[in-house]
Amino acid sequence: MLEVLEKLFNLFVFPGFLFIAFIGLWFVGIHRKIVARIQRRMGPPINQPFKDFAKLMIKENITPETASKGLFSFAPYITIIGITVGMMFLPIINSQAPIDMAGAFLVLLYLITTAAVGVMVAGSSSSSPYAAVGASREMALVIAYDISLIIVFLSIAIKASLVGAGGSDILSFSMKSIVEAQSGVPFILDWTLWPAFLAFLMIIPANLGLAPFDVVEAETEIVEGPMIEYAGSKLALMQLGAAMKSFFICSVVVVFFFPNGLVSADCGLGGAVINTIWHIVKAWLVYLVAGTLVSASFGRRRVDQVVKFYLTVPLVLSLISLLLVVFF
Amino acid sequence: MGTGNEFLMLFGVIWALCFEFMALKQKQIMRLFGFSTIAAIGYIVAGVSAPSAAGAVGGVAEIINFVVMRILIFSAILALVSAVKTPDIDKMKGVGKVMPITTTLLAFGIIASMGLSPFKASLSKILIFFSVVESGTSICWLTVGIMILALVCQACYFLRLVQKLIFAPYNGEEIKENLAAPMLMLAVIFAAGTAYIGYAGEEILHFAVGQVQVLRGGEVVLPHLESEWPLLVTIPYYGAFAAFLLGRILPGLRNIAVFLLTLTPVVMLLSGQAGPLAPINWFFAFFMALMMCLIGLYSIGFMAKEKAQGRFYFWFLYLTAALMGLGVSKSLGDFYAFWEMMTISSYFLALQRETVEARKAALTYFMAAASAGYLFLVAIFSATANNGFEFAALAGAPAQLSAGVLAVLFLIGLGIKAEMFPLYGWVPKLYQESFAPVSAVFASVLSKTGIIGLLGVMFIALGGVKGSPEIMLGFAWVGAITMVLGAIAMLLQSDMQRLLAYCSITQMGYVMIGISLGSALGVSGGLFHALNHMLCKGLLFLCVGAVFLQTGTKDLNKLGGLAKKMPITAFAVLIGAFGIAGIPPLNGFVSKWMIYQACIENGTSAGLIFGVLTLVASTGTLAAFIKLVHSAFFGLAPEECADVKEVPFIMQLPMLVLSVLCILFGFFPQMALGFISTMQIQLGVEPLNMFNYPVVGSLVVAMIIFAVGLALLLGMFASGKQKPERAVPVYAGGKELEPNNFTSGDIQIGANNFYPSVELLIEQFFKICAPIKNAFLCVGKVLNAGEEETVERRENNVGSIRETL
Repeated sequence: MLEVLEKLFNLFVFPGFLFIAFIGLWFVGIHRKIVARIQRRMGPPINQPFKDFAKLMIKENITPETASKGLFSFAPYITIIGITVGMMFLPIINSQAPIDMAGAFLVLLYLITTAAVGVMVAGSSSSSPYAAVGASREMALVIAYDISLIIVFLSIAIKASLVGAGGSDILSFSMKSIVEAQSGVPFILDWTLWPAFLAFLMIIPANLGLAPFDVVEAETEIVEGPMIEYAGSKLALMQLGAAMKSFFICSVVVVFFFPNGLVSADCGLGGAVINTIWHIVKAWLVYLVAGTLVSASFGRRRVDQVVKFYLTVPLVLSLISLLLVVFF
Repeated sequence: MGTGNEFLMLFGVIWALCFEFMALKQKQIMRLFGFSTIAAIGYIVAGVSAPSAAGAVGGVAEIINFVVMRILIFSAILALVSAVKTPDIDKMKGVGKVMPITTTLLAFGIIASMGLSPFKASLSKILIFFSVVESGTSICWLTVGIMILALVCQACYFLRLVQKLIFAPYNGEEIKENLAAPMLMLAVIFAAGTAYIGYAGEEILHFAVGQVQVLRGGEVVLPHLESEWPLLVTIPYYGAFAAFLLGRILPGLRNIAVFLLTLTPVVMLLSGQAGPLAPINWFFAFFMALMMCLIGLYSIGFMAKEKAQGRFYFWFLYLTAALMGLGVSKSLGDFYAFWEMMTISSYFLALQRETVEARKAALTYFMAAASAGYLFLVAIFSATANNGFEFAALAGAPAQLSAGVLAVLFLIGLGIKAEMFPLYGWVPKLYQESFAPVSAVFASVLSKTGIIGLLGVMFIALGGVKGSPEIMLGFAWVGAITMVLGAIAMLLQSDMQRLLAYCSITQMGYVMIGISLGSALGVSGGLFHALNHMLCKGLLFLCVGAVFLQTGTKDLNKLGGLAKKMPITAFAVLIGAFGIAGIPPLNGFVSKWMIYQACIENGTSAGLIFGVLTLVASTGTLAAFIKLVHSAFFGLAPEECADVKEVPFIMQLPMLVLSVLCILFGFFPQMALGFISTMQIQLGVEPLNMFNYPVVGSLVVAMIIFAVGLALLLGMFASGKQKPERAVPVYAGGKELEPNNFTSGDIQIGANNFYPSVELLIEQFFKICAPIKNAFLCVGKVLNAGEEETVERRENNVGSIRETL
């Protein structure tokens, strides 16, 4: 019973839904502020996303007549479910995630795609041509970056299995094995994984829909794409999903490349809080470098440029990393 | 018996090949028949001069078949020509519509003389094969090769004739069939004789054995090829004939009879009435029977407005019998006999649509299947020598050929049904052009028969990974290439059935990789994926068929917005598409995850590459299905789809049952996996220990996803009550979006340019491969000679992409 309650707590409060939502909205607020300052604007206050969310939740719900209503309403939840369950696989406080199993990183890969599927379903079911264009772009983007992402994940998993070959009780390719393999030297300090790290950073803007790869929302061409017909609480959930994704994907980078906490895992509640904050700071740093600074500095590319970019630079980088990991 | 005889044998088959080839080029029915008859003498010569007595028996039996069946064909042709008053085949097209009895007799004679099932006349040719392979000299191998070529030529022109006469619309002048024509009478008499030979093939062989004993002296021992048919096979087999006759008398009752006849094997297998069966046989037989039952039920709704329903259900039940036989067969001899039955019945099912394209596709399929079937036969004979034909007897038998050559022969023979690279050439066209239930049968059921055979060959005959690691690795590579090519090509398709065909190829690649890895996790993942593919692909083809039935098109560019008009179909499509694409918590997720995990755990660099490729192909699958689901079911409905309705309940029911099964196996994979682990023991593979591999863990994940989803949904309904919900029209470019305001190209993103940037890259890839495709064009020309070139629909939309960009 206690175990079930613990799992439910994990799922809904920490490190699940509420935690990700809170941190994710904050990330977005900080992001907007920094981008504004770089562009010599004042920018909104940092808690603006919270206000936006609350405001949208009490607004009127508008649905297109021609939309398929069930899926139109359900689509935002697909993203949120994918991210929330994905977060369950990420060890934050110590090396033990709420859910862990052999081959967990494969499930993680799937859940990242599931989050994107939510956006596609949203665009597809709302029956607007702009939304449909957005959905098709999202899928094209996923095809383009997923190959590199797969190879990055594989490089990490293989590296972990090579390092941690001694410990037999660790489930093969579980998140625990990946984290414990880094207890000595984190993967970020391993030169063979640098190309993979770079490739992963390059994938982040596309995954989060940030410039220069924000072709899915592309306000100036297809006016927010998949979100165009959304309003009220459903729009709030769509935005919440996007915000949650920003924290989630950065957490994945942290866990894969520098997961070590500040204090030992046995320090009780205080240690847990410190490690959690440390994790958030690291995730935010990743977001700052790969998301905020990049999107403030570059303009949007065309779709075909984006697809070509992802099928060349990150793909080659991740392949190099895979070869290095296997042969060195 | 010196080498002189061997040269005579070689001369016989070369003679046959030359004249078969001449016959292939004829345009007039009489000349075709003439050349064909001259060629047939070659087989007799080859048989009589064959090194062993079995071949001679085959030769003598062939003489009897020759006389009876050739007279039947000749008299039917004469009756036909005297009525139509032209010997030109292309002018006789569709004459079966006005002269059904004569053409049926002709087809009867042709099928019998080709030795296709159910006629035991095939035994004579098989015996000739057997004796030639048995002696194993180099001249004999040459003879085998030439004989296969000659037989394939023969099948080509004969079936081309049959399908032109029967499976084409008739455009000529009105003719009445003269039932009292003397030639027809003669044909009827000899048809009775043919039927007798078909029924009592063994007695003919006995007679031939007697003759040979007199001629050559000594005892003649024939290989024992077939065993008694179990009840599981005979019920649908005789049911097929009964249902056909019932349809002539009481058409209303036939549908019920067909349903009951397909239901019987399911019930028998469930209740254990089918006798003791090994787990693997039970598993495949049961799910094949279940699929056939559901597809049969669906067909009752789908085929309701078609004309030749009797023929359709006859071959459908016939195919069911063949599949049951394949499922439960214990020896390779049985396996081959049912394999032939399956080939011929599925060929006739594929022809049901009666269009030029369907005829071309079906003939290509038959040619491929027939040539592969002969190679399969050679492999069986060579592998078993004198050890009988049990699968287990193959292991360690002193084969005529090395294990590698045997593996290749088996892979070609069986891989053609399992849609393996490079043998899947016939798949896309056939799945695109046949009726949806037929495509469903092909994709979900027939492709698994290849897997059954390969399992037997790989794990029992070749000893699995321990016995032959290189061969298993080779099989895995074949699977990987199949999978990747299928996934890439799938992204380009805009015809729904063709898209599903490529998807089927992709998934069979997964299955192949899984079982070739040979590990506990790999084999169980592969088998589970085979099951999931069966359910999902059957479901998807049924949904696509429903859309086709209601809208009249399968072209994704012309569809849209059907989710509101066909909600049940849309739901089923979503389940099937996300299930096979492996979106958690549906069934495909578990099996695919097991295959990925098995690839990576394999530890070799090849395993690593397979891991990457399987994951990438999975993304491709998802992308293609997003396109399918979006283009057909979401967006705005074009004007043509304005008043589409949902299909009748009899068609919804199979779709719903399959959807429920997909969801069930997603949430409770251990239901299937528990059984699969008993199958692994039978295969000699370490069984999957579910406590070692956290399959249960993924179940927990699935349940949690469900719980979160449910909680959030409830929250949504609660919040929906507080705030008013308003529906508004969609605007674009300042105008309300209605079909009459915009052309459908503007309001709906067509399938042609759904992923233009990705498709462009793929197009460049396929340009490199173009010469390979062109090399096969001349073969296609010979195959389809005489079929007028219609305005060719685009093979795929590569051309149109080039225009839009």
